[in-house]
Amino acid sequence: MSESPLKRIWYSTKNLLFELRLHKTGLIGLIILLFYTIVAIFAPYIAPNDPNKMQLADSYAYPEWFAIFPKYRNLPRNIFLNIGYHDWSISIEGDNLSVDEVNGYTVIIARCSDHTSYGSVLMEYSFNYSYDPPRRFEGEIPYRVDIYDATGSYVRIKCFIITPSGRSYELYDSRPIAYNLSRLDAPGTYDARDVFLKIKLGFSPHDYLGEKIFNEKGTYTLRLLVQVFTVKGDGYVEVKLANKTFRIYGMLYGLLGTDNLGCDLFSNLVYGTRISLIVGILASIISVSLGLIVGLIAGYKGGITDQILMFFTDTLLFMPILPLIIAISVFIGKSLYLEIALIALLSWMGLARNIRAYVMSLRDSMYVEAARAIGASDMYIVFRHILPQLSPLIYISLVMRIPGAILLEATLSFLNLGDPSVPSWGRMLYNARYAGAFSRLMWWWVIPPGLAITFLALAFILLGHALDEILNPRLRVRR
Amino acid sequence: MLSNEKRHLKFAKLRTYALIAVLLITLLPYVMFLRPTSAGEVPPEQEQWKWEPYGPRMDEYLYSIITDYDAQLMAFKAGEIDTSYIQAARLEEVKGDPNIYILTYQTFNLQFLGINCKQYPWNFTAIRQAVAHLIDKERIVREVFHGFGVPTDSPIPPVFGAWSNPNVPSYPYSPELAKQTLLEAGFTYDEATGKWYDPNGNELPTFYIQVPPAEQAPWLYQEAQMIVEAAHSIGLPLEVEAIEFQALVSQIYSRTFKSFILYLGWARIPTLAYELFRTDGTWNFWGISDPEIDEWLEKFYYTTDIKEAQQWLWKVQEKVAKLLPYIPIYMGVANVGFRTDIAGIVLNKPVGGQNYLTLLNVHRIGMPFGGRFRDALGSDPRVLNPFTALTGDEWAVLDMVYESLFIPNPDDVASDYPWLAERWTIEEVEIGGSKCTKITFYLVKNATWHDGVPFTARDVNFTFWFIKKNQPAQMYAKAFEKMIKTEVIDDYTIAVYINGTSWAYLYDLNVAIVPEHIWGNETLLEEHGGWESWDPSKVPHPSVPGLTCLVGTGPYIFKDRKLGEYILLVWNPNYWKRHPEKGLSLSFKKVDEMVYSGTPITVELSVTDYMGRAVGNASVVIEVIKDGEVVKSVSASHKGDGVYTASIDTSGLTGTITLKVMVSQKVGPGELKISKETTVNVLPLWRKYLPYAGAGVVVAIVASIVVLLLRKRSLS
Amino acid sequence: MSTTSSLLRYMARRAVDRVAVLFLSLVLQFLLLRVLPYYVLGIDPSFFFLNPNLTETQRELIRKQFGLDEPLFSQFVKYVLCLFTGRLGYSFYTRRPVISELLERLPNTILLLGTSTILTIIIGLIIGIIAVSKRGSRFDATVIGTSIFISAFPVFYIGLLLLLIFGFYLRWFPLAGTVSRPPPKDPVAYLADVLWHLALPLTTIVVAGAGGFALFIRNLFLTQLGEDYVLTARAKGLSEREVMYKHVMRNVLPPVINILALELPGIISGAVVVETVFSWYGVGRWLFDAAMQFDYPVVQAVLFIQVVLTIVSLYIADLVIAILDPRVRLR
Repeated sequence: MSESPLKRIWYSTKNLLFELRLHKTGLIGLIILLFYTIVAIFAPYIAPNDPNKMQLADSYAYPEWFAIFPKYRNLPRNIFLNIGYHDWSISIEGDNLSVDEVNGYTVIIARCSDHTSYGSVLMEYSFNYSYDPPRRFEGEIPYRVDIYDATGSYVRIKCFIITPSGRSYELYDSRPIAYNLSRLDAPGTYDARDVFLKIKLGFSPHDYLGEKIFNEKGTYTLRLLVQVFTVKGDGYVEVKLANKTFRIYGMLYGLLGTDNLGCDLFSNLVYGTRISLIVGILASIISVSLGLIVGLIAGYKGGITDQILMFFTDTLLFMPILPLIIAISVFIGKSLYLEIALIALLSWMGLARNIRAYVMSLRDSMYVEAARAIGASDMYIVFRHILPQLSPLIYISLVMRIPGAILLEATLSFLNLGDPSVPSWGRMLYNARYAGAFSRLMWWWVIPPGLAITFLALAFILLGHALDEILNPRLRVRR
Repeated sequence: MLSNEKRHLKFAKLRTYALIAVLLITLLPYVMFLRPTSAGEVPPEQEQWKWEPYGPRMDEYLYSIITDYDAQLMAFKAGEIDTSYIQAARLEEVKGDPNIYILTYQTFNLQFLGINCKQYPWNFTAIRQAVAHLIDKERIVREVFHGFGVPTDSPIPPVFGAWSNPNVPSYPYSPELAKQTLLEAGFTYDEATGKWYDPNGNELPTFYIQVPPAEQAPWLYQEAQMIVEAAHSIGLPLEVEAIEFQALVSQIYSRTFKSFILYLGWARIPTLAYELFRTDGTWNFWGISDPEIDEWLEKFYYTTDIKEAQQWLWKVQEKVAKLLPYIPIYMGVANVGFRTDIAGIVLNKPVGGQNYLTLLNVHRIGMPFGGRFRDALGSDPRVLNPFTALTGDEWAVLDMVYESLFIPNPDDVASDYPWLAERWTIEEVEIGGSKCTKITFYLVKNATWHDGVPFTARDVNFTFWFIKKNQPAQMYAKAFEKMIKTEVIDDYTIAVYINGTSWAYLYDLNVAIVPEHIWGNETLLEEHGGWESWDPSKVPHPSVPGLTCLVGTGPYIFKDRKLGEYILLVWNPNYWKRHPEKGLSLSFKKVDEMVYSGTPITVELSVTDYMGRAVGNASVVIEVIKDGEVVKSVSASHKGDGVYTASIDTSGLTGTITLKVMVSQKVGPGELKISKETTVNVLPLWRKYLPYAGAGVVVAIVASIVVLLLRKRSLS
Repeated sequence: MSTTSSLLRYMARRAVDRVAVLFLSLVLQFLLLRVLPYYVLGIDPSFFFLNPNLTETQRELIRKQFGLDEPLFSQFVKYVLCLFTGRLGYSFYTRRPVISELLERLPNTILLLGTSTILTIIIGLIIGIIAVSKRGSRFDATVIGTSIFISAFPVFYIGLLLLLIFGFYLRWFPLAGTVSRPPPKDPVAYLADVLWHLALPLTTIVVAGAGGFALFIRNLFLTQLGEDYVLTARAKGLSEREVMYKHVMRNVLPPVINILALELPGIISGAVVVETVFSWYGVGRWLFDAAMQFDYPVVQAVLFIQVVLTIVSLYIADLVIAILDPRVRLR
């Protein structure tokens, strides 16, 4: 009798787990739960990407493993090139030009001489492309132009792509730059989605440039042309080029493809575990604590306190929960903790009633009477005699309340009332519904999050049932 | 709620129902630009279409209410609806479809960075100017919007043509210049710590750009991110604050926001400027207060000369562009898809969306008249009451029923095209020692309401006073507030006197005109909850069966509706702008050109409608006119296949008579009519016997000659 | 004490209790939906309706129309009066009486929720009773397993799956709406059209509900079968059938009636989620849309209706139970 309550809770938990081992359903539930917990804890290691990172591949990309089907085998893959000094094959035209590598930059220096001169540096990089035409590509050309004592000189940078059959497209043109300019931080860019570029190349604004340009298989050449015009004098012109990037966005990506913004769906799925678990467990703990406190006070104190508390409990029981939460979320704002609080605050009533009834019966039992007779304080009686009796009920309620909270959270997120800054499964489904996953029949986007919710909820339900069987001996005996 | 606002892009009508909608457009997914272009082939008929102010060509207009955008797009692709707004992200899904073409046009939506000029450190003009230098508008348009957008520097964007000042100070993207601006204004930068200090020596704290979170509007977030990165490159402690959209709007209205990127939807005429930049302007969220601007704005607003108003607005823009209460970024663009068998879409020139005349001109290729146009609404119009309607979807329906005094001219959207008012004059007069504006409207004379009651100046007068009295929030504008009196000069002329002088009054007055005999019927309104609470489309018309109280002068009549599902409108056969070729045609199959009096005239004629279909349910009356007087009238009977016959008794008639055939067909609550005349020569009866008589005479003569000859011979 | 008077007294006590509950729920709703957003968080619902042309006096007018300028207490009194005067207040958005807007949507909701509730109950009852009568069999195990599994599905997800498979992929059923646009004129075809549109949402609700209900029925019977009185009855040699109908039914009925009473208000107040997924023009979606438009009166009215209906239907359930089982009255 000298053990502390905490220790007793520990022992009972240990016993419980031991007994659970013998229950098939409980064990299944426990294993599923364990799996989810591991996923939630190690989400950053399991998920290959930040769930909010956009443009990892083209939007609406297919899962990578689709490549086993012949139909999808040739879909474009991500090709991200980062081309530096050593990758280029460089040819120089003009005797006053020199190209060198300085601190990782490709530096072109054109010295002025006694006559105006016009020179150019041609840099080429070839790569192989052997997939279907992609929809999107883009590139960046970070450069810096410095003109030293050579006013009137100018630099012009152009970028082309040359297809295997020799067609050439001008992707970028800096136009003559006759002043000092740094575009190292905000590099010159070109994007296949750019309407002006499409028109310039003679396509319709609604065409995909990628499909038009990369429609052959073979060796493509990126060509960077730096033209330098120098005036007479002693000055010089310096052009500094950082690594040039070139990206073709693939249509095959990750385990579950990408969404409309090019975010990794699998990472979203993994991180969603955290939200569901947090919401489920926190909401359940708060709600059970509330129910316990109200039920205990009402049941133990009785009288007017009991009546007031139960009146309040009944009122809340009569309120429609989902509509109320929807209205409050819309009016007040969306945040994860608000959501948890709302779910918890509107779901403790049933438990409070049960506990009250139970406490009432205990209060009038012989040993409580006896304890009271020897002058035990209320606190002592509650903690010593009543709480331990309640523990099975609390255990079961704790577990059984979680699936409800998880489903409610998913529903709210699906109605776009969830916290928009956290990735959750409900939110994934909301995005799927309103970003076109359905009309594209992207089942790999629609089905996993829902199943994830279902199995998590199921784990808790199974666990709850098992606990119920263990802790509610009545059921066990009579079956 | 947000999807509703898309409709806003459709008709840039002259109306001030801008309200919040304007700010809500925010979440319009990437909208785009350019001259009209297309994904599929634009049918030549659409490309070469010359608009006509007549119509409507279609017989029926069906609005399906499809709140789910996916379902709408599917329906469009399946050909169940004829047009759909295409979100830029979804362009790809319709791109390859040979049955769909897309029109892309610039809208009046300005994206801008709005700033709370009263909040530290945004209250430094130099900070605002520096941030303006940090916005790479070209790059934003190219990278975030793929080129679908028009970067703009002027607070009143170039879409407004003459209203926009092209020479305002601009802020080219350049972190260097941003830094320089700050240093010149007395800010100091500590290279060692990388901290900025304001002119008073205080360290510059972190300040924010507020945008809805990436999930809600990824492009806004991305833009803010780009600006912030540029700011970091010169050490400015600017950050992005993601804030729930509703909360942001609420902060804007209570003026507690920091700075935000959103959209502003302008009306065709930028009167909004008056409220945006004036010290106590109702939409001066930024809190700028400049006596000079105030003075110019007063002059801008209170002059009757539009040219002068434009000049004042130019001055305002110059100053505003210096003070930068908001930094314009770019003008938006919309994509609208059509099935390839649809032509007659009228786009405003040079920019600015579909014109109202689209309603009259739109038709199916190969079928100039008739048929049903199937459109979609993104939300169920909750109320079809012109005085309380709020969303674009609600107005999309109301626009087909009610008309206003003038509309934008599709050939030059900045000018006006007369509509219910044939013309108007604006004068300055003096009443009781104060200057007033007198606007006289000369109305069209042949317009009638759907129920047949003629449209007159009294209806216009009633509408004006109705608005003045009841102050409906969406229509009550300054002109009504300051309206002193009106004069109904005759049935088709009305003069309005408004205190003060302003060119903008004219635009304030261009509201949907409602019929006095419905809206002035107080018992009717009372019975159904009063002007604010009733929905005229749900109340049957007091006298004409089959009509509701939603009667206007417009091209379409509200016919049928299933709440939440669809709204069906049918064309108005009595429309005052009815297409001259949209009617019946009548051809005579057989008419006797000449009859003798007493013999009946047989008339056989066939009646077909504007689609060449035989009309079997017409009533055909033939009037017999002799010497300009109707002698009798006969009705023809239908023999099948649109052929009617009649026989007209001619006894007692002689000479040339005119047969006037009048055909009328009941169409909905109206009638189609055609009449044609033909002449018939009725000969007197004796002429019928003349040949016999002649013959008799000849016989008699011959006989007498023979007799004479015989007698002569016998005598000799 | 006669049974009737004890019944009357019991019901009267209950009535007082329930009216008090209604009042408290009104206070709570008022606090949560009106006081909290506006007075605590400063969200002004009238901003939605302000346009730049409005004069200051007009703004005040709008706020006055919304009743925002009055003291809290009088706002509350007005709010309560509005709910009870039969029109349920006036929508901020359309300015129309909420009751007439409600009536326009009610037929659709009753159609969907009425049919689905009835189907759910019938299917649930049948499956539950079969399962309990064959307890321990494979059928029983399947029912338990499936019901538990389905209860772990979010309702909207069932709807989404049906929509994806039968709407988007197979294209057997429409994606949205209650009828075709426009619907066929022939009444038989019209009915078929309505049923065609009803199919998916109906299935969603029935699938989501029937399993749980069957399980509830099964467990209810099972608990009762384990009670002492059943053992006694069996010991007396009564047949299983007699035990079932004479004793068990009597004890099983009250909880079933209670559950039914809790289901019924839903027929009026609709199903927010399913109506949203299938763009069903009903009360549930209306509530959601109205909330999005800050149309407080509509939201409050719908919540109010639901509370009132719950209270009334539970009250009736109490009455029925009290008539069936006199012991209840003494509690």
